[in-house]
Amino acid sequence: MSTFGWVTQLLYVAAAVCFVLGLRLMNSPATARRGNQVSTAGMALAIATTFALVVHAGTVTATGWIVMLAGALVGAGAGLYSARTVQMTAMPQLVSLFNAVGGGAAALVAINEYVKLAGATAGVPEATTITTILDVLIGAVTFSGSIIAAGKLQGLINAAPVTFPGSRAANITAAVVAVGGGIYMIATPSVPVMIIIILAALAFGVTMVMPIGGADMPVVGPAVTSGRWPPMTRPSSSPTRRRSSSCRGTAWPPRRPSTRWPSWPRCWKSAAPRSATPSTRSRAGCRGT
Amino acid sequence: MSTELLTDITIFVLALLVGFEVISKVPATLHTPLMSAANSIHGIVLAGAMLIAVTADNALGYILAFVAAAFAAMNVVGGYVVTGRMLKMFRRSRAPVAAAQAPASLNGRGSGGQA
Repeated sequence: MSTFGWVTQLLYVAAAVCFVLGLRLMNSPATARRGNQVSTAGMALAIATTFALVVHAGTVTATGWIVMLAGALVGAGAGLYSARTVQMTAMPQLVSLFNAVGGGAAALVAINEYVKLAGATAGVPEATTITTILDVLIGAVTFSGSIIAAGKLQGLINAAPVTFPGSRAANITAAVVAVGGGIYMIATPSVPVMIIIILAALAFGVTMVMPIGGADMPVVGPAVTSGRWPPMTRPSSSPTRRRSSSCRGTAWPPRRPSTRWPSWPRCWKSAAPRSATPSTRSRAGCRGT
Repeated sequence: MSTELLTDITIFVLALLVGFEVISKVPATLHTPLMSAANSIHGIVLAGAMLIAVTADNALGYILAFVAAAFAAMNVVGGYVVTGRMLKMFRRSRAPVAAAQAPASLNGRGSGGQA
């Protein structure tokens, strides 16, 4: 490995350390801001390293540069603008949207890599196939699931649990097709199969999130984020749980300190009474009912 | 099974454990900013989006690279800014606005109130 390769790899490790420390500092409100700064610094380091790597490779075409920089600028501008201007009450849907585009980006990167390697004579290495499958599956589920979640939070989609006859079966079918296609791809690399599993994963994201009511929606964010699957969320918040009654004031406040989102209006808006009934945000989420 | 794949799996599993350990003790009040912060770390996929632009040489590659770069950059920038805004609300009315305008400097203590 060249010196340059060593240095970049070590810088990536440093960035990863920053991410872990940043999350660690989130353990207390006193250090949380510092945590975010450390994490941001890690990200800046990682991106700068990648930039150096790209320059060092020296194979980027002029169009490649334009595409890369224009894409990054457009995305950064959109992200900055929306993050700066969004109402506090609308933040969960924005985070959900960021989550969606992040998952989408991951899936697109994997698709690009796979299509390119599949066209090459050497074929696709096993490690690439497996990481591609995971990336595409998780990314696509994150994308569609988070977009539906954002729509529900924003009130664009009926916030009440939406089910139709066979919706459960559709959900299971989508999951089986996606996973089965993934297993098939390990044995026989194939681009069409990849497209099928992408579509199945997108469908799975939709059918997984549609039956979830508005008040449970903030849980979906973490659940579909970066492949943290529902089993890892708290038992009481599994996606199958129906809480259509959550828009009624009687459901509020929770008896015991909840570890879920209702706690945040209380701590953020210290002016609001502790027993605040559903915040404006949850009412917005219930518009459809 | 190649060594490369084994290494990747090792890193993946260890990272899962690290992530779980690091966030499992975060208090409930910080869960929403934590979700947002963890999400913005996912923006590291921007590195991947930049790297696919290196080898892109046809229309499909360029389109994918462009969309991926835009999505990832939105995730990174928006994620960190939103997290910062959320965390700003945690500051009790000690230094209301003055320190809020210096988010870029990592050395300046945001909440130190030293002006």
